[in-house]
Amino acid sequence: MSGASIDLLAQAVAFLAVFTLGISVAVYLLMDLRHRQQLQRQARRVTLAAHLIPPLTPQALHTLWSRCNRASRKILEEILTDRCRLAEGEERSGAAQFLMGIGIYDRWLQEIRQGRKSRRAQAARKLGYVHDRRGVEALVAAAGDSYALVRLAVALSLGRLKDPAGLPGLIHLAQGRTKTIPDLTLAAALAACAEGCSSLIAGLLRAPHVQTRVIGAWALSEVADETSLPALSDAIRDPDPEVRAKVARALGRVPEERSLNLLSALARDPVPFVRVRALDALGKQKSSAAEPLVLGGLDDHMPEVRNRAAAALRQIYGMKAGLIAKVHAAGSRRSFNTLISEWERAGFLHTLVAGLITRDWVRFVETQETIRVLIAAGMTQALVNMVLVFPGVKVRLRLLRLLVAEPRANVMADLLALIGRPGCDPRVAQAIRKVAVMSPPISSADIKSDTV
Amino acid sequence: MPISWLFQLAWVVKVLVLGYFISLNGLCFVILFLSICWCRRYRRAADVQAIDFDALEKLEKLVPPVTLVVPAYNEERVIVQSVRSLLGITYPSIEIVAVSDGSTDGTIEELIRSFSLYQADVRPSGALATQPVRAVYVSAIEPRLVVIDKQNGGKADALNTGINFCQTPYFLAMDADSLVEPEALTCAVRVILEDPERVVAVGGIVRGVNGSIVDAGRVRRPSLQWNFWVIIQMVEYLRSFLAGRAGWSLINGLLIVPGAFGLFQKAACVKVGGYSTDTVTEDLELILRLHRYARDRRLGWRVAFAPDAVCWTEMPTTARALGRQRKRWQEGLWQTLSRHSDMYFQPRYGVVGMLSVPHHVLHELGGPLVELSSLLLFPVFYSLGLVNWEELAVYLALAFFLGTLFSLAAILLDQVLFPRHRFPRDVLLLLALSLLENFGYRQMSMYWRLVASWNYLFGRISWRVSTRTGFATRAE
Repeated sequence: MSGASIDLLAQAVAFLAVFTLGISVAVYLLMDLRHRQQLQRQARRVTLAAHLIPPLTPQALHTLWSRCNRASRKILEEILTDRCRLAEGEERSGAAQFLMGIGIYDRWLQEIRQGRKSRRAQAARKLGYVHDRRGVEALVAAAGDSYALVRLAVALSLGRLKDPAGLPGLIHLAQGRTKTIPDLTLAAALAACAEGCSSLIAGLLRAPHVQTRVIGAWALSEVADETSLPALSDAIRDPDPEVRAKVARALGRVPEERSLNLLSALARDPVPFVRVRALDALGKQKSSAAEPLVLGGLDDHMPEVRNRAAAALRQIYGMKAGLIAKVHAAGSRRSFNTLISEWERAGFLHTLVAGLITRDWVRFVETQETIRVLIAAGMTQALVNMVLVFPGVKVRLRLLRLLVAEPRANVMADLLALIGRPGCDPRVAQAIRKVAVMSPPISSADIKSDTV
Repeated sequence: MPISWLFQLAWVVKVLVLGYFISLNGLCFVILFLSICWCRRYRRAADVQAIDFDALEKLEKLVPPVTLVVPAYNEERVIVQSVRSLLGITYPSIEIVAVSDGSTDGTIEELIRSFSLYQADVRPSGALATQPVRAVYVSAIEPRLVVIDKQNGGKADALNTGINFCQTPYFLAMDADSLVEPEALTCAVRVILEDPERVVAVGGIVRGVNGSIVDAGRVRRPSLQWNFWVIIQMVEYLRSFLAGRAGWSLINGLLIVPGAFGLFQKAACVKVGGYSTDTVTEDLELILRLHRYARDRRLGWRVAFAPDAVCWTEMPTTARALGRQRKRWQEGLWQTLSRHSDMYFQPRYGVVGMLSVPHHVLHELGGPLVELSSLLLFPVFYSLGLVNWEELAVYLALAFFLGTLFSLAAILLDQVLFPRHRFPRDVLLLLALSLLENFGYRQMSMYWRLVASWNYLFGRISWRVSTRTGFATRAE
């Protein structure tokens, strides 16, 4: 290679090195500048926000506005918009009136119609903070916007405004199937607007597209009342399981005998997650008429369905101890285990054991009976552990008495093992020693198998 | 004759190195471009916040519940703070399943003491095969928490146990030593809800908590620790996530969802058999199996990335600890890619088969070998006069320039779109280390990866345990 080309190469390498270093310095300076600007802006925002505490009168606010330069006005607009979003009562209405009076609201209306796409999205978002008929109309019109983020902002704003006049826009969005708007966002917005007038969205259940029907059923699951029952009863035969599952959820809101009949059909649906939703809805209805159906769900071949049935029973009866004995006597081992497992996850054992010091005699006896059932079913490990950890020595001693009264394998060994563990109360330890002396250890061979 | 043979060898090596160099940097440029496009689009969508609990109160009842599965092995120093941080997540419907994987320290005792746990007869609803469960605890004061004590079986086994006890349609797999930002879960769920039929996994971004002020399980003031290894890792993480995974996510070629923050559809994971317990990078292996399962059955599943779902984790602070971590990752990569070797260049696996997997094989597994051979052979060739120093200089300068450019682009993307480190000093440190990483660190990284490759090829893989120091709190 010639000397000239070597020089050229050296220059190229040097250029690359300088270029890289230059970019690094530029990035740093840019970030530093940005950081400083942000700090200045935050400081200015804090100063302006301080002026608004306590909320200013309209005249004082106008005076402050007239004194501000362009940048400060922008910050003031942001503060007032935030106030419309977060504040309540007079503070909120005062800020909204000012934004309207000063012409900012009109500017948003103009931007949502004619602005660039990012401006349109911002305006659509901001229009949701101030309730006004013109804003709702503009948002409904913007539901057909070509830019997906504008449509998303429209859905959120209409949902925030909770105005039934916004429903046409939301229904248009639901039928348009925009991917940027999650189904549940649209459903929540529809539900917010259709509160008290659910029949307005019941028509979505007859839409040709599955996604629209799902959104409709989902929205109804939050606002359904007896007026939507005809539409829901038709929809339980929908070919799409997702729609049927959402319909089940909606039926859970309608406390009527007819809805119970419809739910009983859905509780036998071939698709497991529809059965799950139906059992969930039956639990929400809290009607004891649903008990046979829910008890049937406890023996389903799918664990999710069984768990939901146990949860539904908990919702209906509130972890009633007596139900344990009932399921123990009537159901299979699988049903019983599922019930105990699900309830214990919700703190059943703690609540149950607390019943040993209640003054309510009926509950006390029921608690004792349930504990005996649990011991008979071989679920002693958790009860023995309760003897160690339950807050309240009186309860622990009563529980201990129940445990030793029923001869079960390994119980005494487990209890004796508690003595050495940290946190074991000396009185409990003494009681365990005492009963250990009185009753000889029982081996598992002496006990019949734990079949239910 | 020997000289002519050496000439031919030099030519072959030069062509190989050049081919490697062009393919790696060309692909990285394309992915960087895609990442920039995707991050901008994501930021714009995130600004409108499709899941806005403030705007739509009813959303709180409609969003799907999520179970946070927290595997823990000897994490007594951080476990309580981690669980507290998780309980502070703003997502309305969460359950926490903490799994102690046969811990030999006071992990379970700490949890029992802090959350008034008591043993309960809770049974799993799933049927993934795992090591036996010793006890299940529920909390008397926190109904959303379930703690499982099981025999040791590794992180994957603990995650599978957590999945078995999960009762929600989605679960978040994470590390016990990580802190999740309160909004992170909502951000990740939003990505799923935009396309719930197809998105089965979402990965978040991992950032280093070292040097930041942590209070009540939350990172209050993100800052960088004055430690070479920590800052260099931050640069690497930013480059990997923002200039890499974002682009792969756009074309559905993402292979890695971080173990510290991965949101999964439970049904999909159960269908593919849960986590594999015989690899050291179970997260990568699971993602590859999800891709394979979906493409075999034409299900159209997607694995996505959420750059604003931030998870803070403690990074190794010494070269030794970092080396152990990197070796483990490289060994895991070898294991997983060997297991899925039938996916290479298979059109039926789409972008994953034709681009992602070959990229990982050629550039991640083969990279250290190419770099080592070029480092060893070029001086020999130069001393024999088979290559000239100008070629060498151009190669090194370009390698340095392009490597730095990717790091700078990642830092810029981070600062403009998803800023966390706002102090100029932190930015300056990141920039400085992005320039310096080519001198020394890159070669060390290559060495660790080579050692790991050697270990894999000659059967010396072992799980290396890292020690935790706990998070720095405001009081400290």
